[in-house]
Amino acid sequence: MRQEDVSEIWFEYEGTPLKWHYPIGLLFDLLASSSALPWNITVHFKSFPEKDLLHCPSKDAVEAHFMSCMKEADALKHKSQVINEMQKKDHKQLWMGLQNDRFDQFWAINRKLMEYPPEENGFRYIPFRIYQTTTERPFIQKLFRPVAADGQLHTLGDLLKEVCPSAVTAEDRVSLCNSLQVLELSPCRPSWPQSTHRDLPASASQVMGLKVCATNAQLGSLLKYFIQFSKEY
Amino acid sequence: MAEDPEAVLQLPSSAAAAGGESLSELSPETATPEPPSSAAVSPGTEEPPGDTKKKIDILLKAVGDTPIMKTKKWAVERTRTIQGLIDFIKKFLKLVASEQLFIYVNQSFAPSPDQEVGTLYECFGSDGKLVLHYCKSQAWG
Repeated sequence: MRQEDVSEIWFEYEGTPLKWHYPIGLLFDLLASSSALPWNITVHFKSFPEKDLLHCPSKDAVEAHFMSCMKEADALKHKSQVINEMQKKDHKQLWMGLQNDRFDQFWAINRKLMEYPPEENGFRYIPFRIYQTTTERPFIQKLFRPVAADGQLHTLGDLLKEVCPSAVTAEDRVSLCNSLQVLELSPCRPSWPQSTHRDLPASASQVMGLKVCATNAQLGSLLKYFIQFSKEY
Repeated sequence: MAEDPEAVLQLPSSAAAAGGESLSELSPETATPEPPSSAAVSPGTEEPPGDTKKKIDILLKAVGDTPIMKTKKWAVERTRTIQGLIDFIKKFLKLVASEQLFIYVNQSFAPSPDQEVGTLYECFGSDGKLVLHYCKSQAWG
């Protein structure tokens, strides 16, 4: 390839440009969940699809996006109090841990972002995003409390009934694979297992992302499960 | 905030055009959405549940030495993206295309340019409006 032919790099799968600011597991689940691994994608060096993709001028842009997601999540979870109390080097450690696959490094800081006062039964709001293949619209994101007014812990089913009723069937399991493709509990992925227990009622996709899950799974534990185990697959 | 003049944010509608939405002028909240004579229901407009009002109010505040906008309060369609807003502010302030502009929510995080203002409004709006800060340099890491 001649030098003058090379401009900005971008990726594509079966005609769809791949957004670099979405987790790769999410893209796989949305676009190619039935295809075999390793996932074959096309690399382009010219004709950047301006209207479909954001530019990614450098690795700093990826870091900035990641940190922004963490901050947005903490705004929902703790009114930004936890992330604001952190020092610059803690933020850096989150990013470096992620970048270098050092889950211990990542979790040493992320642990604080996952805590809440014992007198409260969870975060202020559950940070989540629901992506659907059935619509061109971007993700669904709304305010949703982990605990109902009567003190009951909200389940995944409660969340879906509220924000995405079309995804819920009469059965008590919802196939996120077919109806939603992916429920992404957004801010805190990707991350790694702290321990190796797997006692929660969910299974995860091959790459990342949650596909089938009992709708009576409590959101609080689901969040933990997802965050802790997504990297195993 | 009563002294803030309200204005309609007219952005080029690239993405919205395909959605079959009626891009009407901003109407006062009490106006009837459809003329009574029109028998046809607007076709193919699949509104997400809860989006009763098409437009939301945003309040734009400058940070640091970024020029302020005389009009601060704007009514914006929910499906407008942050990028659309950035382009609009840059045009309004007559910034050169190459100049950067950052938008922040809660004086804390910069939403991704493809994020829709309607979603941000639902999660981070208060008192019926979404407050956004804009800045020519990165204000909040």
